[in-house]
Amino acid sequence: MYRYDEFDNKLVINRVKQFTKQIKRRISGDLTEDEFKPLRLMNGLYLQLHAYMLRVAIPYGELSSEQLKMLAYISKKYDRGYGHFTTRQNIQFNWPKLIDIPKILRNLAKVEMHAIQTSGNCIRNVTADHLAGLLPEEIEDPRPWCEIIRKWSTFHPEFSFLPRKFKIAVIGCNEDRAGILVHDIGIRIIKRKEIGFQIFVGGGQGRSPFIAKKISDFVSKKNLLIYLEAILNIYNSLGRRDNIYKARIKILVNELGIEYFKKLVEDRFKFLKEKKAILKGIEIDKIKDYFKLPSLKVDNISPKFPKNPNFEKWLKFNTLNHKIEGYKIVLVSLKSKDYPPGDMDYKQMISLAEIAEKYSFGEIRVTHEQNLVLPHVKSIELFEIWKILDSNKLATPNIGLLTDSICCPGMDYCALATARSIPIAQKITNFFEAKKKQDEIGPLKIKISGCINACGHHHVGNIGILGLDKNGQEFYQITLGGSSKENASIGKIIGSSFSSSEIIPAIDKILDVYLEKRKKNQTFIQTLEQIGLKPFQEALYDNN
Amino acid sequence: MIITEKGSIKTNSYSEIINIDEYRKFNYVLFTKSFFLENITNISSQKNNGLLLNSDEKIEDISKHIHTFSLINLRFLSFKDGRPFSISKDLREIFSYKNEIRASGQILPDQLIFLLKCGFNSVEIDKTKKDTWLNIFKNDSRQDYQT
Repeated sequence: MYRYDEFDNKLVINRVKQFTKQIKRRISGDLTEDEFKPLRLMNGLYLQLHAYMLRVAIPYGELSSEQLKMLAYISKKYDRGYGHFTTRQNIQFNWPKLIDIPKILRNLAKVEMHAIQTSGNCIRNVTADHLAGLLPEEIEDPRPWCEIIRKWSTFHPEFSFLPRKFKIAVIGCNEDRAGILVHDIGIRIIKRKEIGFQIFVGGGQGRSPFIAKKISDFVSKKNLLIYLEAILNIYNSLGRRDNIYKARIKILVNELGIEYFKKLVEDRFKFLKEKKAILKGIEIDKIKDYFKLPSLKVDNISPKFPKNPNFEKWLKFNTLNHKIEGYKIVLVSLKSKDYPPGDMDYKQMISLAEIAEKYSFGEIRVTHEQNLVLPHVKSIELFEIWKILDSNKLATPNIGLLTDSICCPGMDYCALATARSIPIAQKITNFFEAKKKQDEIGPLKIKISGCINACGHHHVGNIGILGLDKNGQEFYQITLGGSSKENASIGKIIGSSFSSSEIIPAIDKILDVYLEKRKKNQTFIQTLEQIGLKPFQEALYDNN
Repeated sequence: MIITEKGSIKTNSYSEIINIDEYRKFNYVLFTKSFFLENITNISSQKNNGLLLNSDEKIEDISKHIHTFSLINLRFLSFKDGRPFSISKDLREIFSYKNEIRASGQILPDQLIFLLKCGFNSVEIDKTKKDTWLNIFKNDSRQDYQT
């Protein structure tokens, strides 16, 4: 994995010093809250419903054991003993005090971490497929490209005060596990005569969801940053600044039309290409060196495990084949019934860091779906690992199933939320775990947002749940048919919303219709495409 | 009062004018794009002509005249409005503008280093905040990945 060089180190330490001074100026009154806001946001510090929230960057979701241990230390020392992993592969602390922030940042810097550009109207943490570098079908590992983009976008003098936040994701496989089509820019590594990139622009969720449109079918490696600069330059100049809800690039692309937007970008790109330094092969190779596989060798590639139905279930749902025979990829579920989705307490962090140290080359990944990954685990050691994970409540066998839902913090934490989302996720988990129905249903994505800003990605959930406020009561609207995969689509609203006591039975009815109507091996989306919304609507609303 | 790219504090020699009589009075004049377009025949090459451009105005439609100006003053309507960073870069990179580019309006001292990196030469500052600006000029890191 990537390690800081002296330059990276200096940059982060200088930023800690700078932000420490800015906090002092805020406390002394030299900076007003309005002036302080963009500065703290560029350092990942939000003011939430009850307290400050600090979002720490985990570039493309890659963590070392040492870093996870530091996150555990910060959770215990400066927060309430836990952290929350986000859908953009970062971690949030919900209860830090302003006065402790410089200490937290200094501690993070010791393990090559920071909170730079995890918020604010700038280019955010670049995300990647959490299985990057692990699968045989991959065209090329996207992580070096994320690192190249991370460097380019960090403290970018021209693009630090954009109309609105800007999110980029990169994948190297055909299967999309990073949701590139719901990003401001989505990048897919492709192979033509040489390897390069397909670029998509203007995807996003929030109040006005859009699927990104293809702006270029091929950009060469040497020109990637120049092409990105061209897009960002057009967006910074023309993106709307009169209305925060219309400021994302998706609105600009939609208002101008992709063809005209593309023309502006291409003209700019042609011009910049003449002037700007291209990426040199030697620089790319230098970054790639950091992401080489560890040396993986095993003697026993088909181990025999003790009979244990819980272990077998976990093996089925929570492990994947690694490209090196004899190794497995372990998915660590953060969707147990005991914790809010994506939450992890400091003891679990320490245990997992130790497991990774002993069994997975000290590497951990964070997934876009708020779970964790042990990337290189010997098959022969799986039973041992499962036992430790299980004793730490980290072995819930539900990866990809309906209780593995994405959920935003909702009204429990967030000042923008109109309803709670965590309790709904927990009710779903409790209800469906008890009914043991989810195994029969198979892969299905439920995504829950506590307001129309859609941080819980409800638009792209196979079943999406959106929390609303109706005269002081929490209500939940259901959408069906969303997906953030390569066939990305926005879900359709099924009908009027449900109260918090009605929502679980409603989901249950939807799933009954699916189970009854699906043909062999059909996914939820395929069944829905075939039968339409009507049978679901009839099941939900006929008695009314 | 202005702070320059070399970190010195100077008085602002340009006078902002609104009509042609005022224009005739001063040697260092600052005027808007609409004033320039209305009085284009009266603009004297003997004077130091400064163009004032708000962050929501475009430079493209007067790009053929930009070399007339000894100064282009880009006024930030809000410190959150990052358009002048791109305008300044465009002036340098696309239009090869070589004279002074100045920032004014609502700017935070914390934006100084970004301004200098995007081609600005000076910033109009509030004199009560002079020390903060100087302090940031001296101490804020200039390290970056872009250069």
